[in-house]
This record gives sequence, C-alpha cells and structure tokens, in this order.
Amino acid sequence: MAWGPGLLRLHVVSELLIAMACFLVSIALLRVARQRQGFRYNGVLLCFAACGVAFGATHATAALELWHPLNWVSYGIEATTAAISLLTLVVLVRIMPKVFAIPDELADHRFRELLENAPDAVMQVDSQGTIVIANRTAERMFGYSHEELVGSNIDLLVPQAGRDAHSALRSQFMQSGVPRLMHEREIALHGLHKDETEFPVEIGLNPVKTEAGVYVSAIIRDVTDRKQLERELERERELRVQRVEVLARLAADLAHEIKNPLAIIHARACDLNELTTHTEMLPAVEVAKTCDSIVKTTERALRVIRSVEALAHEGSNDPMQKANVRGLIEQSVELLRMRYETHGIALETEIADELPMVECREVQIEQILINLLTNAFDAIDGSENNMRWVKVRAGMRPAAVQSAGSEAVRIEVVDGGPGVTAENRGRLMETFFTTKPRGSGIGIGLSVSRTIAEDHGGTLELLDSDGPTCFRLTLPVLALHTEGGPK
Amino acid sequence: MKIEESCILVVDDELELLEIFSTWLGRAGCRVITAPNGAEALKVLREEKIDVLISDMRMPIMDGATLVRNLRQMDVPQPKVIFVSGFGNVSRREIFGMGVEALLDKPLGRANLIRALEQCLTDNEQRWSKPSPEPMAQRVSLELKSLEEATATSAFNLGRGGCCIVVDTPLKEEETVDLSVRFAREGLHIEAQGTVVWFDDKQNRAGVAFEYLQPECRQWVLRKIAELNPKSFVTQC
Repeated sequence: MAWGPGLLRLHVVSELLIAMACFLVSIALLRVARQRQGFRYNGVLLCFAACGVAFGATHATAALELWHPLNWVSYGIEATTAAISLLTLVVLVRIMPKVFAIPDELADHRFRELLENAPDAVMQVDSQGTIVIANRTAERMFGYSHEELVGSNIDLLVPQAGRDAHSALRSQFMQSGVPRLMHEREIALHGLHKDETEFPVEIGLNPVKTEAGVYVSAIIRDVTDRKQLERELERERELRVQRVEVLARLAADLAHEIKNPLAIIHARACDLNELTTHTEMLPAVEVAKTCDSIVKTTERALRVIRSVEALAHEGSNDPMQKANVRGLIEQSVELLRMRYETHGIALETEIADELPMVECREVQIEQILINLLTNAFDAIDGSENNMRWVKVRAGMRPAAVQSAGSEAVRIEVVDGGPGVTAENRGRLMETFFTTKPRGSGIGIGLSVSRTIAEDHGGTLELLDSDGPTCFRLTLPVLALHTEGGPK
Repeated sequence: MKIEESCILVVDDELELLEIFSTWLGRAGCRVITAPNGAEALKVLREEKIDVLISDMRMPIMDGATLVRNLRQMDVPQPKVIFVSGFGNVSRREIFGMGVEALLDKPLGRANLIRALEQCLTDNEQRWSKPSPEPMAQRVSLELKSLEEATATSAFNLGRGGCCIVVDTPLKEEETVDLSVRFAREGLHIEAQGTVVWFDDKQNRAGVAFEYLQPECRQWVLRKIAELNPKSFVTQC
C-alpha cells in the first residue's frame, strides 16, 4: 500500500490524538487517586495511569518515526509498555475478588435507607465532637434539618446542665475505645430538642477507628414513653400498697367493731350460764332481758358486717369508664332530692361549664357523693339553729396545683350545718368513727369513700376552714394512664 | 387491799358493756363508778380516790391511752390501770411502758376480769410469793456484769412489775418464761417466773411481767423497785 499525503496526515493526527488522550486519561486517573478518599484501590489506578503514559508514549513515537527513525527509543518504549501492561493485568486480577465485593449502588442505597429510618437516632461524631453522620430519625428526634446537624458540635443536643459532664465523658470514652452504654448514674441522660424541651434518652456508643482518626457512632433512643410507663407502673404499685394499708386499717377497725358486740354477747351468755348453776328456778324476767340483749347485739354485729360487704364490693369490679361529672352529680342529687325537700333543706348545684369527662367507676363515685350528701343532711337535720342548705360545687383543680397530664376535677359538698369540732376533725375518716347517735350510723361511709377516691388516684378531704363544712373530692381526669406522647 | 374495799372506775363507750362490767364488779363487792369516755373519766379521777381504773382503749372524745397519759400528769393518787380492748392504736410495749398493769382482750369473762383486778390490788410481795404449779414454756438465762452497766446499756431494765431484757431466742407474747439473771459484781441472782407481755423481733427485746420471785432475791428486787420508783410497769427500754 502506498502512503499518500492524505493518508499520512490522517495517521499522524490520529497517533498524536491517541497519545494526548492517553496522557489526559492518566492525569485524570492520578487526580482520582489523589482526591478520592476512602478508595482502597489506588494501586490499580496508578497502574492504569502508568499504562496510559506508556500507551501515549508508544503512539507519540509512532507518529514521530515518520520523520526520524527512533528504532531503539521506540522499541524500548514498547517493551516498557508491555511490562507495565502485564503488571497492570496482574494487579487487576489480584484485586478482582475485592472489587466484586464492593456493594453496588443499589445495595448501598438500601443500606442508607435502613439507617435513615432506623427507630433510633444514629449519629457519628469525630474526635472533636463534630457531627459527621446523622440519620433522619436524629433529625426528627431533635427537630433540626440535616444541614443544621452535620457540621455542628454534638453539644448542641445536650442540655446545658449536662454539657461539661458530657464533654468529659466523651474524651474519656475516646481514650478507652471500648463500646458501651452510657449510664444514667454518670450523667442525667437527656436530649435537648431544638424547641428547648428536654427528653430522656438512652445512648449506645461505639468507637470507629479509621485512617482519618477515631469516630464515635452513637445510637440514641428516645425513652419518653418508657419512662412514662415506668412512672405509671410505680404509681400503680404505690396505689396498691396504699390500698393494702387502707384494707389493713379497715380490717383492724372491723375487728374492733365486731369485738364489742361479741364481748356483750359473751358476757350475757356467761351470766346466763352462771344463773343456771346457782338457782333452780330461773328468774324469767332476767333471762328474757339477757336473751333480748343477745339477739339485739347479734343483729348489730351482723349489720356491721353487711354494710362493709355492701360498701366494699359495690361497683369495685366495674371497668373504669369516661363519665360526665355533671351527670354523676345530678344523678346523686336526684336520689336524695325528695328527702331534702320533705325536711325543708335546700339542695343546690353549681357546676362549671365544659368540665372534661372523668375516667372512673360511676357507681363508686355516686356512692361517695350520696354518702357526702347523706352526711350533710344528717348534720343539718340533727341539730337546731342551722342554715338549712347544701351545695354541690364542681370545677377544675386550679392550674397552679397541677402539672400537665395531671388535670383533676374537684367536687365539693358544702353544708350550712354546725361544722365538725376540732377533736373530731382528725378522726372523721377513721372507719367506724361516727358522731351520729349509736344505731343511726355505723361510721364506715367516709372511710370507704376515701378508699374509693384513693383507688381512683384521687383524694377525699375535709377542708380546714372556719366557714361552712366542705368535703372535697378530687378526681384525676385520667385514672391511671396519663397522656404525654413523644416529642 | 381487799376487793370489797376498793373503788373502781370503769370507762367504755359501749354502754351495755359498762353496765355488765359494773354489775360484775358490784357483785364482787367493789364500789363502781362509770364513765363513757376518757374526758368524763378524768373528771371523776380529779374528784374521787380511785384504786383501779379499768378502761377501753378506743373511745370517742378521748381514748384510753390519752386518758392514762393525762392521768400521769395529774397530781392525784395514781390508780392502777387495766386496759380492756379488742383493738388499740398503741403498741403493747407502750401500754406497759405507761404503767398499765394488764391488757385484757374482748370478749372477756367475769372470772378473768375479777382475777386481774385482784392481782392489781395485791401488793407485790404477796403477789410474787406463790410459784406457778405449771411448768413454764420457755427458759431464759442471762449473765450480766452488773446491774448498773446492764441498766445503762438497756440489757436489763427494771419496771414496777417486771423487766425488759435482750434475748437470743425469739419469745412469743403471752408465753410463760423461767427467767434467770445473774449480776456478777453484785453476786446477785434473780430467779423468777414471768409472762412475756411484749416482744420486739427486730431488736430481740422482750418485756416480761413477774409472776413469782424466788425468796432469795424477792426482797432485793422489792427494795430496788422502791428505790428506783419507775413509772412503767414493764420498761420499754
């Protein structure tokens, strides 16, 4: 084939372009090797770059040879190219398994999603405490955007009070380098939300050693809900203990109240027994009187037992249900209205609007109200010169004495009766303590009422004031399960 | 003092029981005064010389314990006290500590009441001269250095009718016990029969009321009691 000038030009230009491209590819590869961090296969990049230089040189000499024969130089370059190519082949073959192990982009994406949507916040900080990784859960948990988090110091998320202790712990951890849980006893574990609220957290730490230094991976769990549950459990346990105490008191009181009638019956029976041993003819009047006393006293003891049974069991197995306070009051008032009216005692209600529904056992709360209304009635009707009125008031407990989630409703029964004397005040809630004449009341109403109130997580108290007698029933809006979700 | 010469004040808010008790006591020959609560009883105690006060513990207006505490503050001849109760808000240890001589449970038979009353009216020397024919349920032996040291460390405290001791083995309330206490320095050996009136299982302390004292130590104990003049019947320690 003859070399025409056109063909020759095409050959030279092509060779030079190939050479230039090869050199540029080498430069590009070198830049990648220098600037791409975390790429473990720079060796093979360097080999490819060397190949590029060698190929470039081969093609350049091929173009130049048209003018100057460069036999030794050109064959030397070809030999070098061959050597570098072979070396590259060896390197490539050797790292091939490792290259296959590099996750593909799709898998990487899946892994990122897994991390981003983990139930816990996942973050990584460098040795200075600067956040380098934060997943979406972390953004949500602390209320910051991804841009705000990455690059900020981790102290941003630690409440002011714990910052010094936290820094000290962090450097201590960096030195020890052992994965562990951060303990509550070392530092109050709270996270600081962007809106300045604090929430309890649990933190797991893991050191990550890299060529660029030590990083710390932190898994942070918001334990607001769990803490809340723990508090509820604790409260429930306390209530149970309290209930056992109340029951123990009730049992002791009951024993006392039964032992008195028993003592009478026992004594009367002993007397009868003695009478039979001493005289042949029993004095009929004496015997009749004694037997009558035994029968009456037995009935009294029975009444005590029956009333305890009735009061202690009624409604106690009902489930807690949301109930309308107004409805509860009106129902109880209705039951007693006739009795009040026939005795000329005014009975009024004063119920605040828009009271929340209260979680309770309706029957039991009505029982308390009926008990209080009956007591007020007896107090007024039992003595002269009284203001003959009773008022039932209901409203929210003032915000000053309640925290969020502990809203409570107050129901007060106020009467114009003679009031409770100072010495009776302290004992009024005792089981079987009564100021009513013997036989008309056995005195378990108030103490059982209080037990019921306490069982609901509320209280029943006699207000300490010089004014009219006022019994106050306080009932939490939510019986035991207080609200307050995660932030 | 003979029971027929005694004046008894009975206090109980249970009026029927009050009537029964006063009938029983009246039949035994006592002069009986009754009161329905502690406050009324205090009024009687201010005006009358009472030999024995028999009181319920739980009463409205003023309970039995408060009545006795008030009585101890008063400048009147102090009567002996018997509590009759089915329930008390005060521990047995406190009750005997405030000088109450007997605690009777309801229901209560006539014979028991009269026996307790007679014992109250008998002076200590006579009371502690008759050994029980029954064997005692427990035996407690103590070896102590001296009475002075034992009193200071509360290892042994003498009351008007018994003592408080520290024991190795737990005792039961109402249990009878053979008590032997040796004081090395005085070379004294108290040998007694008694009844456990209270027991504290946390401190392993027991209150023991004497029922009988061996003649060799009886005079010494009586002298010691007269000398110390303790307010309590069995000390609380």
